Amino acid sequence: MHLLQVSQLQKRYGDHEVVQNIDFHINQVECVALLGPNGAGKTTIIKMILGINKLTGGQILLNGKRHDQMRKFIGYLPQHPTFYPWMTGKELLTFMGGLSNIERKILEQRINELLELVGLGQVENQLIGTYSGGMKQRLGIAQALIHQPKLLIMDEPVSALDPLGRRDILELLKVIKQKSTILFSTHILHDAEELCDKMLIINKGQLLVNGSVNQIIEQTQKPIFIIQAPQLIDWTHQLMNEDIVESIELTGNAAKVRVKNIEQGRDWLLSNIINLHLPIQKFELVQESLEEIFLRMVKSF
Amino acid sequence: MNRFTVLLQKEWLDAKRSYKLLWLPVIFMFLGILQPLSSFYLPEILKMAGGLPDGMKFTLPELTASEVLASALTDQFDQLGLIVIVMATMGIIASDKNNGMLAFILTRNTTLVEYLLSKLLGNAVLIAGSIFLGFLSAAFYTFYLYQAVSVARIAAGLGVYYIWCLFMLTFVITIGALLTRTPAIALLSIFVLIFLKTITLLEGGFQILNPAYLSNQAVSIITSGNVLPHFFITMTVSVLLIIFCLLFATSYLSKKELPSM
Repeated sequence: MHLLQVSQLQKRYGDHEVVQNIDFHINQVECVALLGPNGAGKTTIIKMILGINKLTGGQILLNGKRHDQMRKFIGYLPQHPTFYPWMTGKELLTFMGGLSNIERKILEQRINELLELVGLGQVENQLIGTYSGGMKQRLGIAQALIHQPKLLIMDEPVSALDPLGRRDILELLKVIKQKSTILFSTHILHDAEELCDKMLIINKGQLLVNGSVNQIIEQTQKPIFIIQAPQLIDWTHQLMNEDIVESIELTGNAAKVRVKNIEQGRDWLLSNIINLHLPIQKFELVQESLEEIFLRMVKSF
Repeated sequence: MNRFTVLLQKEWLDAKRSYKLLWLPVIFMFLGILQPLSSFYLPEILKMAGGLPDGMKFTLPELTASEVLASALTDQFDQLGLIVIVMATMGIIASDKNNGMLAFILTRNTTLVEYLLSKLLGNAVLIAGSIFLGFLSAAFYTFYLYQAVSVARIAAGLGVYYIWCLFMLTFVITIGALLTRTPAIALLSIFVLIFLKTITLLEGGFQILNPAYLSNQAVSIITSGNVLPHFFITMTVSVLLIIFCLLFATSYLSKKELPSM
């Protein structure tokens, strides 16, 4: 049985379908990234799993059980954790832990362990209002872990941080993921690639790809021709109208051309270049990188 | 640890850190002292302000100690005091709701009922303390400047008056659950509560359904030792209204998709 099973998940606001029939599952001790551009529906999916937003269709099962009893098994870090600025870090953890019915003695021990883990031991008695963004994020992770949840859900845990804070949190998550099951959303491919076993690429409320990084690359990778020559603008404009060309992208003096059929495309491109006497400096056939796959999927959609 | 206790402790800490625990009782003590002092010294204040023109006669009513004390409720607590209570409680639901903390708390094992009851109980205790201290100050100065009033009457009157305060609190909590902006919550609450209070002047049969009439009942208990007619009906209606407000707030919030962070 999967730890989390989401089937035919739907969310509609009036006529606007924010999430359309999404299916996926998460296994024990797996780290899954929900990847997509802003507004893709990531946060809505997360909030439906948490029960903050109501489903308009489909179902969500945790260990095969229904939605209502799930809260105690999930730890959640919101996108913009504000908490109570007038509480100290330690008080917030005591409060959140208490709401999860943890016994006081066990709770105190857990709090000390977690403050150690996230590196907030020094500032545990300072007011949250005085914390930096990175510190709030660490506190948010600590409170999400306090009741030893089966599943840790994080909404954009590193997006709002500076490069240093982001590195810190990523390293912390690498430690946490050894023992926990994690689902986190991000719009940054690099973070997902670095941390996760599995990716769910989402755009406009639909699931585009679902699988491990290697699977995604194997299944969806397409070859690209890279043609480098001075003044390619006119040529790329002409190519856009050709049937055989799927897409074309010009950066500097290099054009990335995707074609529908690799053999025909190569012959056609080469003969076209010869006919036009294009002074090419480079003609290369490469495989898409993960980022190119991601961008292609998100754009073409 | 019990979740309700955890929520209550949070309310307490909030009141402490925001100094509500200090300023609310202080304001009520000030209001309590004001009434006996101003009643007692009014003739002298008038004299100091230049006195009355020659030939004009002005007789101030002779107030008894219990009347002075009772007017602390109607002239101070029910006016400025009411506004202060609304101001102190207008944000208790709205702020948690708007910044996403309420939705966040509910991702734990808590329920809306526990949450709202903790808000109600926490603030009810705070208001009880403030009113008690305020009235204690009023009684102290009344005893000192006028004469002693039966403590049993004072306690009974204050107890009845407190139910009206509980209604105010529950009403503000309900409006807070319905609306988002705190100024709107404050204005609507003050308007409705003052309206209820003002129509008690009209007397008439429908007053028995008006929680604000409990304030008149309290005055009657303090001044005469007797309740006005239909006391128990008004009491029951008020308690039922409090329960209804809470149920309404709970069901409204549970149907709504709360803002989240």
